[in-house]
Amino acid sequence: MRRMAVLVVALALALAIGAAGCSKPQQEGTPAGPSATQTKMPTDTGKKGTAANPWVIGMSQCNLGEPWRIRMNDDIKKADEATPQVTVQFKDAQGKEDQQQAQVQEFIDAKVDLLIISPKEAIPLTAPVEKAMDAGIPVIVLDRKIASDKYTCFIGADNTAIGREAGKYLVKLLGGQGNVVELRGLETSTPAGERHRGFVQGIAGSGLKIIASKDCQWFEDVAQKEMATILSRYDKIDAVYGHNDPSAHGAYVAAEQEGKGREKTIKFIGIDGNVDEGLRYVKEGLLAATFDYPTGGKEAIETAVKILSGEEVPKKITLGTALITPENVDRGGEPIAPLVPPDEPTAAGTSTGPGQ
Amino acid sequence: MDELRPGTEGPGSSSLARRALALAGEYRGPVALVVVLVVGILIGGRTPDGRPVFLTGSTHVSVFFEYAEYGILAAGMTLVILTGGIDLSVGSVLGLSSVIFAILTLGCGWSSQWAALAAAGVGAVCGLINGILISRLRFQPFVATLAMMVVARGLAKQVTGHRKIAPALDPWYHVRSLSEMPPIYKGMMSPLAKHGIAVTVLVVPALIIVAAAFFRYTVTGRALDARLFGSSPAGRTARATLSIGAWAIALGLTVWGLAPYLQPASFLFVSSLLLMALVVKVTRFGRHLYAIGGNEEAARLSGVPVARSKVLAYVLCGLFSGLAGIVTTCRLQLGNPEAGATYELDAIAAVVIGGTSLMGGRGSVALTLVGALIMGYANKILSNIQIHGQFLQDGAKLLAKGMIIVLAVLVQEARRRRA
Repeated sequence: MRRMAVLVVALALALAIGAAGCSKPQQEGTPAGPSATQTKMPTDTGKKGTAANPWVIGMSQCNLGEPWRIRMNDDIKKADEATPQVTVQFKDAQGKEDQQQAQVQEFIDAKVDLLIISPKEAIPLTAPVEKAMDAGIPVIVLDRKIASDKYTCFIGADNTAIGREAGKYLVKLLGGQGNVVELRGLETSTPAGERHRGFVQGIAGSGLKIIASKDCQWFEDVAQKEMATILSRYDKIDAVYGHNDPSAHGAYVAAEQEGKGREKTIKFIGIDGNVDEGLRYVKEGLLAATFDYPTGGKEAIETAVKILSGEEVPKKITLGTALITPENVDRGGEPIAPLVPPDEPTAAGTSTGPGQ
Repeated sequence: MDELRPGTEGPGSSSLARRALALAGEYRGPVALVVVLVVGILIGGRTPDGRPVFLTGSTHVSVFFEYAEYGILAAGMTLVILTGGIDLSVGSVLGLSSVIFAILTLGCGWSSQWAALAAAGVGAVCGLINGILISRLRFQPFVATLAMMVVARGLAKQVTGHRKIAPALDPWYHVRSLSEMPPIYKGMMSPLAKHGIAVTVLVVPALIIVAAAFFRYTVTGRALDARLFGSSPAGRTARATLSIGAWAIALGLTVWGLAPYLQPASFLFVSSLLLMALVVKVTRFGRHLYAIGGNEEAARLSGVPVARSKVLAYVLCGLFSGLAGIVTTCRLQLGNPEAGATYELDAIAAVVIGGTSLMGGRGSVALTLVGALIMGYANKILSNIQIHGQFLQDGAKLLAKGMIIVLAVLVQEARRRRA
């Protein structure tokens, strides 16, 4: 009886691991053939960086529990499939710094050709990244920085600039006059601070007034509750600026639930532009606009190929954004190139050509 | 498992096979560990030059290193579980002492030793409160430590103001940049050999003490000792000295050999467990833990100081949580008030996989070391397995981990029923 139980569990274990493997087909877009899997498997023959013997890139993602980070991995996966010279292996640290440290070590032990990391937290990941660099592995840091200069290339968007664009857009949309509610991201997080500062710069000098500004911690349910309170206190609200799309959507739902039809008159805008969130809300007309927060996934793979083929790459690549409205959502939005100092190279969010 | 019954096999092979199986049953912990290692070599991934990842030294170094906090927590957790209790607060207490260590060293500019003492002390005080609530005020261990889990986490957030403690966080902070961090921050995480002679001077006497205790008090130690050095009364003192010396040198060479690779954090992990294994085996306190876990009322009636022993078990558990907190601070290079969340579950899993019963009174700390290593290696395997060139995703890993726990307990139970 007990032996049966042991057997059953052991079998289940084997099945679970097997099933997990099978449920992830290696290639989606590329034509499938008997050799399709082969081409992506690293082998020992010949020169590196060819379809038969691709460079192995390790991608350490800090938390796959967030839609935006799933999108980052998807972007990398898509670029990987379009780039035969490389194959990318993914690891997810589930939001734990120590786990991400361990993963970087594992990639070093596995002697990957290049490491892409989107760090959970700057300071704890600094030493592991330096260790990878010491081991001769080039490192591309995505979205969040580390606490030293010892990496090959940083790719990230500019939250302040995106906040500024959002502010300028609202000024235009409301004709320079109106009351704005701001639903902020988690107060202690850097992006929330930058999206706030940028927005304030964007509306400076206009007649727009922030009548209420609440910390909603990036959460839709919190935003909904905060907005319900704000709705009962203010009769005249012209626009809501959510630091992310779920916050803006939560505000929309609160206005709808109030039952006075104010969701029709208030303009809601958000940031991020994830497929299942912002893009859908804009398409359905719930949000007046959202601003793309690019993941840099595609640029990371392009840069990786350049690094691995020995080309020079800039130390820092700043990504642009895109204004996405119901009119242009099907075209992928209208790209806005980043405003950067002249010595910094740029890559606009949606308009970069192929790497080479 | 029926094979163990006498008479089920032919007379020729039976005795050898039976003895081998009995031996495997006796040492099921180490056997399971070997099985895990073999599985690791077979499916634990390969380096680009085709070697199994599990045959590279750095993989084993990182298992010990990455599992350090869990192992240290499990050392204290085993004591508590032996009494039939549980401590859910270890993860939160780890977080609390982690931020206190960070504030004292980075903020107030305390020296590492004093800050470490204070952080460990905070852990011990939390344990003391747990112990008093449980033994004097008759709280159920689950409830008392659940409350401590919430309170310690709340305190950690309160004292930090919900922020992570890093250099130059506030204007008054003593440490202004990453390069000014006290040496323990880098030292805890870099191989022992880099610390030079000072550590060696500390390590050698400690080894002699451990060697002496091993040879004097453990059954295996005494038997080995008698076999190697004889047991007739003549020249006993000379032989004892010789054997202690030999053990100390053997252990010393092991540490010396590992020093270029293993970090102090890993040594803390292994030595916490070995020390507690010895304490439980050797001291009256250790025997009392088993007595209390077996039958608390009977233990009380036969004169076991139940309340005192329980309080001490929780204090030690808290102390180890504090120690683990210091390791975490050095690992993250900052004090995170969220650190250690859900660590209690991993610590309990290591204890249970080792074979210590949650009902109390049965198990040992040495088995917990095996359990912790099984968990550590299983994590490493799951992290390295590749299917179609891709690593496992979180869901599959969690499924596998859960089933490893069930499997381990089933094996343990099968063994117990037979006995």
